[in-house]
Amino acid sequence: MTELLRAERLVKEFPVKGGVVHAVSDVSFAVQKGETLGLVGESGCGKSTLGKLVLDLIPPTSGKVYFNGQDLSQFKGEKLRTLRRGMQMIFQDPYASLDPRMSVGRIIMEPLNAHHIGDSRAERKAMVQALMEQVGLRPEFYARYPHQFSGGQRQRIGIARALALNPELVICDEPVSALDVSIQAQILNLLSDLQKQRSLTYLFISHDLNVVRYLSDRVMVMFLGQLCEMAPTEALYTAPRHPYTRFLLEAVPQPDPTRRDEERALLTGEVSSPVNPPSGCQFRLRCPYADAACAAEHPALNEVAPGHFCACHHPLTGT
Amino acid sequence: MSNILEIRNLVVSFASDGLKDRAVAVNGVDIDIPAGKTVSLVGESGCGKSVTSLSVMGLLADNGRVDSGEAIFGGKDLLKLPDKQLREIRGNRISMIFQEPMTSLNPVLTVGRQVDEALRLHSGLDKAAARKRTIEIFEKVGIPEPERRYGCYPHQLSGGLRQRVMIGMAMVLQPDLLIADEPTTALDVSIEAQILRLMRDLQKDSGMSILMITHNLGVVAEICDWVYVMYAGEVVEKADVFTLFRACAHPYTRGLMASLPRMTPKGQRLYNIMGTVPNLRAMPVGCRFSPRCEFATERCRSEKPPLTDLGDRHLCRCFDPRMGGDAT
Repeated sequence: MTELLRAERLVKEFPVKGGVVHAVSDVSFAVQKGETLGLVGESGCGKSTLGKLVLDLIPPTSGKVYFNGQDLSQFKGEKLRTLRRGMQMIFQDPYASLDPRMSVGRIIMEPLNAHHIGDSRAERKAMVQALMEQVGLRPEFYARYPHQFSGGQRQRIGIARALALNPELVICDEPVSALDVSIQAQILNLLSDLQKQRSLTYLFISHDLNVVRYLSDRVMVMFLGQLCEMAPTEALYTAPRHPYTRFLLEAVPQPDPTRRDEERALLTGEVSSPVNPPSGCQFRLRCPYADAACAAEHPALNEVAPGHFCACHHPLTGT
Repeated sequence: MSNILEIRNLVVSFASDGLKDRAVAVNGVDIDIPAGKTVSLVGESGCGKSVTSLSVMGLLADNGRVDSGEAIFGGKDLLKLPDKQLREIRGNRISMIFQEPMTSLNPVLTVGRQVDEALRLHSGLDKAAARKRTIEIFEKVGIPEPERRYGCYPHQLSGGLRQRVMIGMAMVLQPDLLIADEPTTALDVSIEAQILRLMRDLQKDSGMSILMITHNLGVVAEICDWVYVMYAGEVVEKADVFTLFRACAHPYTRGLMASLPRMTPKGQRLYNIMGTVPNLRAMPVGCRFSPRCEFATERCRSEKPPLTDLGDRHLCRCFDPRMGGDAT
């Protein structure tokens, strides 16, 4: 397998009144060509910020992103734009991410225009209609406007736009969170079909642990800006090593009423603020296993089993 | 067991600008809420689940109208009560909590004062007593440092705490029925689990009934006793929660269950229900689900199936329930 994307010690801090928001703190990971890396965490954990850093939509405070072995920070202007063609994004809210005054055809064509792809308008239109067909939209709807489509269809428009430049990497930021269950399944199937057809690589960001499990080869878990666990999907779901991961998994309401009286450990307390977060391990204030070592030193991300990384001074035994 | 609320043949329609016909959002719905139990209305956007509860509470938008039906609560039909009497019941005997606590709380009043207000309006307690009772209820719904939180404004609290304030406000008058419309949809999973547990505990203590409106089958499985599955303004299936998850019968319910990405291994396709929900103004003639149903026959397209009892009060609106073998 070859590496498509690598993030090295990414840090993003936002100055605010009264302190600094540590949105992403020292996060490193790599994504192989053709794989889906899931990224889960609760609101404010920095997962969307991390997605934007990877695309260089916002500059990191420190750290580097390599795409196809090239350091993004070494590129500017036209060269950066060319490199970025290979990486696109699909957003959560198909209502907010489409311009209501543009026809669907124009929305999908915009990236082609911006990158001067296609020799004539007619050629670009043909490309757009082919894309519409691929994502399950009828090409005759070319001249319609976003409000004439349902939520699921709008997400298909967003996907077509992201694919227009034939990217290698697609960052999916909560792409099905705003959709109903039956429509969610249609879009997840579409994403996995497109991945096969076009050998796409996905960084799939979501708070929905079931959706991430279905789609991902490997999964990363973030908490307050830090990576706490990264592992092959089944290992993470069946034998989590970080206490936070286990709490998250136990908290998900499962569609099985016979399990509802099972004893479950629930997280107590509220998510700490990313402004001036606690010393040492970010999770220690909510962790039942926390001790002095956790306050003194931030745990490093260690390999606890082949390909299974965990940042905890007291990792679970994995059963 | 007696029912605390019985909704019979509820029909609700909406007018839209420039259109002559009214859109029928709820079309002849019957719902029973037994005392002390949690009943869920589950379905996708636009199925009429929220409209059902809003009409019972007399909270429909101006363009909405109850065309027929009854909602019997404590021997009275809520749909025919004068506003003043309905207000007495609302907030007092029946409370509501909504999805987004930020939009249902007043941003310029402290949360303590907002709970006080409801309390004093309905119970006649004086200021000091109301404050004391509010702090007690904050403690009960798990708000840390309740005395300090009493003086906080909504924006100073996290989403989970705001939802706890809403629940406190709903519980403070010890209602007989709590209507919860997607109460955990906007919350993170660790907070969602806390809120669901809180609702279960409060129900155990107080014996109130809960009407839970949700699209999340996980939430249904977690806290509900009876489930009504709604589709395009109608109930298509009703069952106790264990029966529903073990042996749901309607093709729509079965499609919903099968499309959950819970056990499907990567690489295998998720089941998906084809097409989309029909337009309220252009409902199919026969079964409303027939255009999306892989088992639909000519009869399904021309004739409307009744809600029939499959035994044990398990109701299903389908000519041929469990078509195509057992539920997945």
